[in-house]
Amino acid sequence: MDDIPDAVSGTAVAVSGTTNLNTGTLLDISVFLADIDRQKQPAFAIAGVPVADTSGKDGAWHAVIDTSSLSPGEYIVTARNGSTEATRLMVIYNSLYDTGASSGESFVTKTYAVDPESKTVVTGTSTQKAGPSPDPAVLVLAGLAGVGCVGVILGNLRKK
Amino acid sequence: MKTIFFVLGIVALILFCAVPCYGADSFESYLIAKSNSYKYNTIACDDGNIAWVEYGGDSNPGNYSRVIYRYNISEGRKDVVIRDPSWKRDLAISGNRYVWSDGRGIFLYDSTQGKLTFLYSPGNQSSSPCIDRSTVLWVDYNKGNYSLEMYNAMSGMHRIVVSSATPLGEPAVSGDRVVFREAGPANDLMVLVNLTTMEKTVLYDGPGSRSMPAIDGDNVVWADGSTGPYQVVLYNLKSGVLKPVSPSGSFQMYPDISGSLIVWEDYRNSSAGSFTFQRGRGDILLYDMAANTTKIIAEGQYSPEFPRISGGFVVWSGGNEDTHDIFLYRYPETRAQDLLGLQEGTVNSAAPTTVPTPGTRVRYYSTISKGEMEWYSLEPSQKADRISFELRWNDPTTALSLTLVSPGGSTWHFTDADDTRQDRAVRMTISSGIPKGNLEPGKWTVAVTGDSVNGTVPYDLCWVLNKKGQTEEPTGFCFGSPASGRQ
Repeated sequence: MDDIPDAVSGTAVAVSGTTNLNTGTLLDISVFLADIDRQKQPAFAIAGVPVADTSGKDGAWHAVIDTSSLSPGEYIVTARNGSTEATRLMVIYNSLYDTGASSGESFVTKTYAVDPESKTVVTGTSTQKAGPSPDPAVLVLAGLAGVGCVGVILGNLRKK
Repeated sequence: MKTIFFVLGIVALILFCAVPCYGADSFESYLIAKSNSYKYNTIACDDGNIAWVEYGGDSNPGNYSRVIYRYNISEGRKDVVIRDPSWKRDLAISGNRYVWSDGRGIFLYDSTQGKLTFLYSPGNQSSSPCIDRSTVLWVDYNKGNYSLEMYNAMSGMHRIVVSSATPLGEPAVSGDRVVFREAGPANDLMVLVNLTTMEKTVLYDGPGSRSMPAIDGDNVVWADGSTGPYQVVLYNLKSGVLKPVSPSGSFQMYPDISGSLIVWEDYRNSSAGSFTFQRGRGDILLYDMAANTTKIIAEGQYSPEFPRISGGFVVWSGGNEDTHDIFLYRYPETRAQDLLGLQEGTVNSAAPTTVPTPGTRVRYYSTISKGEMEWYSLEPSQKADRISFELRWNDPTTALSLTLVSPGGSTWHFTDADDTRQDRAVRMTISSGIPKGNLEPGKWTVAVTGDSVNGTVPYDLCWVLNKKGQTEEPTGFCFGSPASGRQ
């Protein structure tokens, strides 16, 4: 089974893979929550996904998982036919906490207000981006340098 | 109707006799969180508060939304902390601040301010947050590089504490000191960093692996695999002395420390614990450094797991059902400790009282022995705004306690001492926390526990429902095990 990229809850997630099972073999695709002990029931399932002919190579299969009923979390996706089984992890997030696709940005903080009664998030986010905070000693030196600059400027003004 | 009650009682008694009681040898522990929903295996404990992650608030097995709950020990009460849509794992708590990971970033929730902060660096994977007061630390990973990151909840300051090309893991913080595991060239290192001076010290660099560190003050504990199965070791930062806590040759997992008390999951009495670790069926052990004593506080029959300790209070997850109920143990030496829990929520309030219930007609009479727990349930009418209980017994050497679980899962537990009057009775009143409001509709569950009993003693239980000073007969009262089974 191919790797499954992280996805936002509510979107369609395509899962696919290749197999040496015969063309036309039907696979059952099941999605289980990963971190519940002894979880027996799948959170989502598709039955009868056919293995397609790929002219001489291993057969390919493809299915789409509807994540609208899946809460954010880590899931185990299995493709199974009889005793033959392949698995991959799938991670679902809520769009409220979208971090964006880019990497290399500096540290980001987002804040949300929580309703005191319902305990749910009630406001939008305000984004604040900041790099690693400077050392306090650097702040002190910067402050002293600033004071010095002001002194020089004032001195120059007085000379004029 | 009496015949039905009698038959139900007989059936329940047969069940109680046939099924060994979970708390039989650890009667000082009691259930604080029971529901039909699954609970994630993360429990945090700090300053009289216990927090955990629980799946959806109903019995629907497909409801996988996660909610953080808190149980306040001094109030004896369970509340919702937050029910936002984040994926919640690796929960930690300090006072009213809660931190958890969703794999990409760290969530910091201040329940006093009602403010949730999402901390992340795009593209990084964040995990294992820990917190002490306003200091939050966690591990970040991106493209082969690991870093230990710190955020101050008061100042908003963020800094990278340690960067490494080898894996970092499982930080634990106490004051301005953090311990964590760092993979070395041949084996794991246990490392300490002073967050004030940024001085880095390797506490131990021995063969094998080490994991699950915890720190409180000058003492650090972790599970060390240098001699075979993980053994809990104790390192004193002042003396520099490292020693095993209670060596056994069988696996010892998930140590935690608070003051002079250390707890861990111990497999010396489990057939699965000697050579290969197989989760479950271990005991929970407590080592008292001051008294130099070790005792089992929960036996492994129903797989107690993930112990945490704060002050004299130990919590763990009981795996006797798939839902993993949560249990609290009060270490006797520290029972007098004053833990001031912070109030939150307004659904129901409960308080012990020295005043007898308005009506004292005995509703049920039974006998109980040490470690036994007898369950009752009742469904008050929706018009009641208060419900009072009175549990009484005659034997002065006996100690019984009363646990009440509301339909919504709020749980209270009271002993004779809680009402400040030692009179062989436990009295408590639950009221709606909402002005002119009524009690939660549904089934209320009551448990009477034989905490300290010689032989078998009789007791009686009465209860009264009230609405604006008027008493009312309950409906649907019955004796027997609750739907989800007994403990």
